[in-house]
Amino acid sequence: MGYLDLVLETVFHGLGQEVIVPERPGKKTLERGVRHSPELACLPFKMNLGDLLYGVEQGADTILCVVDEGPCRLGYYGTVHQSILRKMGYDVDLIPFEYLNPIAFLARMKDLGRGTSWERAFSALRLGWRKLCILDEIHAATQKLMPHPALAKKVDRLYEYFEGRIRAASTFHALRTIRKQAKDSFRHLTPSESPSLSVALLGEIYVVLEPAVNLHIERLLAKMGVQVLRSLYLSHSIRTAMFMDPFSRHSKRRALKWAKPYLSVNVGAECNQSVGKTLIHAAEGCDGVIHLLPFTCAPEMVARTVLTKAGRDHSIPFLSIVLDEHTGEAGLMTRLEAFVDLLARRKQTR
Amino acid sequence: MRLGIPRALMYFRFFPTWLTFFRELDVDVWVSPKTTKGLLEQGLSRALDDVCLPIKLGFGHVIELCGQCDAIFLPRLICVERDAYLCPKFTGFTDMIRASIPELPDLIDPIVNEKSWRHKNDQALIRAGRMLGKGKRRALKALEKAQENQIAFERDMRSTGDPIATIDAWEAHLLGRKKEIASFPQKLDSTHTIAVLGHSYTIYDEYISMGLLKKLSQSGVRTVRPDSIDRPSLEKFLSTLDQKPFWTSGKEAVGSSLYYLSKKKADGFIYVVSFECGPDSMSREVVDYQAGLYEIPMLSLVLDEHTAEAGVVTRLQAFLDMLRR
Repeated sequence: MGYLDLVLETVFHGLGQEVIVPERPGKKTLERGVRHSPELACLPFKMNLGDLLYGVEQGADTILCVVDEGPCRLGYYGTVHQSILRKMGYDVDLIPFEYLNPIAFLARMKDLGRGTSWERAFSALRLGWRKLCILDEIHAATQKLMPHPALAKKVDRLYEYFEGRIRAASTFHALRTIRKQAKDSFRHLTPSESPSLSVALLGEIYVVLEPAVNLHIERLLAKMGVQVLRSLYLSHSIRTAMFMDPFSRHSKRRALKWAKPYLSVNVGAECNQSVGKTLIHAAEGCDGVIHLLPFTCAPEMVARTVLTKAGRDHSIPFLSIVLDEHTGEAGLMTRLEAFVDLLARRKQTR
Repeated sequence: MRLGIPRALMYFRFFPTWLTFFRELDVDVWVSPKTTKGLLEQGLSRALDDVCLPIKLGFGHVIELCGQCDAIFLPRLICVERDAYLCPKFTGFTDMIRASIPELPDLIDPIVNEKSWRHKNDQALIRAGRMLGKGKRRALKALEKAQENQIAFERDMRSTGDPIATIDAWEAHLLGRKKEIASFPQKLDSTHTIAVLGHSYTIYDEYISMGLLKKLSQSGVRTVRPDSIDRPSLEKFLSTLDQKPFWTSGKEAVGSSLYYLSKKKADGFIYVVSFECGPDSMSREVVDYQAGLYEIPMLSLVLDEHTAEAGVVTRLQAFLDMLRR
């Protein structure tokens, strides 16, 4: 999920654990996951199972999974994954990840570190967190540059270079230097003209963040010369989920407020945010919204239904894309092209 | 003033409370008719194609009520018990309806959230009473009666052998069509018992479950359901799990399957799932795992608007034949 693998690798490395990092998720992972998943499970579930299978084949004996009290299915993933793996003959332990209680969370981390001190556990966590924040920052910087064909290649190269360096970095000092260098090198790149269209990308967080699942939709759009606005970042949603800054003017609360006329209660997951953010983007003059959701995702289905009315009221075109293991790039491309053409026409006539 | 209640979703679970409460407040209650093909098609025409069958059916029932009532009772159900949610689609159902059906009359839509101190079930009903212009004192009195009926209904459902007939009898009684509630004793002469797991709104809706319960009893099989077990023993068996499911429906399915498995009271399971059901995709996997440990066969029937009766019958017959061998 985005860079979560990189972060967790850092954290557990810091805790003195041996870490098995699965290959970047792709078709193979998904196929493996789909084969053993219940057919009606959602896409993130299947992808995660594929990753876990890779892990247990390499000899992993413990799954660490976020445990939640619903209503989204994510909170129950661990238990179901465990029973599927057991049915296949892998005896794995499940360690719940109580992210809502910071002290229990840190204690769990220390526990996992087998004899590391509290300080070390804390600093390992902090290093992982810092890496995540910097990666998100760099990603946000590249977003403005990607739609320009002249720059795209260079930006891509720079991005990969910095990602590799961040992955390898093991001290705060090194991270600081990398961040500074990245900032400098991106500052030198200035686009000659601003892109004509801007499209906001939102929806269920996993499918928005994971390029292997959404078939690199950000890149596809950028190639069409569209400026992609993405406000969902892993670091932001961890921050709001763990109440790390309760008083921030963070976009989540604002989005919930905007969604209020259409959704009077919080449905859960990113549902209300998706609706609220669509309306915010409409007010800010964005040309269109692309709403991504995995097949059978209940909260986003509610959002999609409500958006049909909310989008009409605020006159913003939106395209809902339901992703599952059968989604193909050609089909996605056709829909995106049609949508972008529509937006361009709409802008011209105004 | 005529208040419409759609015969869909949580109606099958809470109708004694709702009907008694509103009748005691002298509200003219109008319940949508039983599901028919036309009703389902009405729902299909308005709902998005990716939502599950029960929600589409819910749309159909609400549309049916639109021209006939002055207001519709559509509570926003978040949690109906302290430690479990309902599916997010229930929470958003009222808003989905509001966004897709423009000709909607007034909605009586109190929030029901047992996790919050302000939105408990009782308070929600009192609020609904206030929306209809009835005072708190009267509402409290009606509520008492409603809860009595709900408890009696749940007791009847535990002992009955024919749940659909029991529901019909209770409904007729509460709507004032019949005075007495007939009792339906459990048939004891059958050799096999099958536990039918699934949501009350799929297994008790004869149209979408294709008369599953009736078919089973005609083939001489005794059926038990999640609501044949009392709540405390359900909770007791659930607490043996590392992590309980956090959906009301999931808790019922998993808890009752554990009960029937460890007491050896069922010879087979039939899990009725509607296509696209999120919570069930998870809890079915857990039930499947547990049933595998006890070597009890399980048939899962996935229903959607394209499911044909012949297919269901074939699978049912094959399953029963296998049990009898």
